[in-house]
Amino acid sequence: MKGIIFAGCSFTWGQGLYFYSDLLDIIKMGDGDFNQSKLTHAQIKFKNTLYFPRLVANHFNTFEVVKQTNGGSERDSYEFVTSLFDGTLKNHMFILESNFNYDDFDYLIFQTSQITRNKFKFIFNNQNYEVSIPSNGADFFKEEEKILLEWLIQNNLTYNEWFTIFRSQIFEELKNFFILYEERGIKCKIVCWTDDLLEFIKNDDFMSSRLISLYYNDIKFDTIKYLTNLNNDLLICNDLKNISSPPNDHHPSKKCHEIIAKSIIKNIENK
Amino acid sequence: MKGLLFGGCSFTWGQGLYFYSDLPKLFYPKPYEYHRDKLTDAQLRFKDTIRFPRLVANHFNTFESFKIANGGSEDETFDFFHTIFNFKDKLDANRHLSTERYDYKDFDYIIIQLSQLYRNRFYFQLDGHECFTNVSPRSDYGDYKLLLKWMEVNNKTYNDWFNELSQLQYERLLKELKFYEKKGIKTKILSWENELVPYIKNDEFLNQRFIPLVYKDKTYDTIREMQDNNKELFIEYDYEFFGTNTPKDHHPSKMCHRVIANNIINSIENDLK
Repeated sequence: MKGIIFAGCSFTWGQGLYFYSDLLDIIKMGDGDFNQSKLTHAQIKFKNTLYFPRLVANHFNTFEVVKQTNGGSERDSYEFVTSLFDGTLKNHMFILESNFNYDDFDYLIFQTSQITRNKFKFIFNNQNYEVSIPSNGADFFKEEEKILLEWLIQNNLTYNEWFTIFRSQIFEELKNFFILYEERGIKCKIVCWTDDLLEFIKNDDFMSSRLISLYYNDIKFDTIKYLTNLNNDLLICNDLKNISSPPNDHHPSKKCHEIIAKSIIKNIENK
Repeated sequence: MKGLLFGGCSFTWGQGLYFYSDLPKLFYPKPYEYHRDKLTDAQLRFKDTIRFPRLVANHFNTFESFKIANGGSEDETFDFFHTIFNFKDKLDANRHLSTERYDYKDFDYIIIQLSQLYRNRFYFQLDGHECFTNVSPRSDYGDYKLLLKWMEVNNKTYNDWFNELSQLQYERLLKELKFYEKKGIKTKILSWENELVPYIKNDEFLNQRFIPLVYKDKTYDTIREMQDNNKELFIEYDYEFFGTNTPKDHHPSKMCHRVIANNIINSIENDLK
């Protein structure tokens, strides 16, 4: 098999997996105070050995490409994947000193994040806007948020109605992104963290056939969130079996990465 | 286990392993030629996945570190180690060797694959100047004529040069390994060529850290001896994988990397018993 691209947020990057190492002086950063500069090269290279991209790549005797920077949204992932091929990587924040061709890869595994990390695109009074989603849907304080509020009033939309439009917007972008890369010869697969896009994916033949369900203890889960909601110990913060005093880190545990990897492998091998 | 730090030449780097990939744009150079500019980033990443440092690291569920540049000698190996441990405030220093920086406590093991002895710098005085060469006097490239002149002026034979170089390299190897052991990193040695093996075997400290290579129930002191007796361990003779049209590359085959990895793993596991 050729290479595999993994695009996603901190879940794909493997935030927190360094807590499973024998390395010393690991700073116990939690969800809210993560700072990549406080991680050593050793800690980063160690977590790379446990994250699901490496586990999948090892299984297929090939290499994985994951962005160097932690976190991100769907649109960050599009930018990352695009940058692999457009010759800009040597000066890019995501990966240093690598450039690739489309035919270097067989698969793109896309892990969705929380869609509210993306901006909402809309036209208001003949002007294009991209607005960050207010952290609390009821409060629109910033100038750009006030414009969004005006747009909602003008279109007579409730927050929930708008959120459906927003989900549809992100879904359509993702589908178009998949179509583009499939045309370029890279097979695309999707792993969902949240269920923000799940309804749209399941109602679309093209996308639903690319959805990777997760299997654990003979139960099928459509999102990582469903999996960890039912199996709390698959979060690092609850993995008392393997970490004596776990940090306040709600990212997938080592075991959770293994489950995700096995599910991806199973999906690829079944196709 | 903490990390594993590897030192070595093109044998550790994994030259030629990209020929085992399904990747496009594979360039097949002439025998003994290497063209970095013809390799893609994908091919480089692929070869990292099947070279022995990754195989050993995977076995112990940890990470490996090795220098970026292909080839080299023990000079580069120890420059690489020096760079990653000592240039934390100079991230631009020796970027051809590594952009990573570490503490001694990040590693449990250093595994050094010795290369060809003459590739190391040999210093001498000639016409009042300090000179060095990193070629054999029997070669026909580099500064070999300078070395021949030094031998002529000082009435040295090839064997005299070789013995001096060997003694210097033996002493340096011993000193460096003891330094890293004092820093808490256990050390291991394996060798491509036989040049330093007699010195290693005559030294209790080094001999304890030496990894002979076992393949098909026979034990070899060097990768060369193992390859010469088992041609499939050269890429060039790996007919099973490539068929009759093999890449003309004398570097260790995929199987050879597996064999080297298994021997390192066994040696480390014996330590852990």
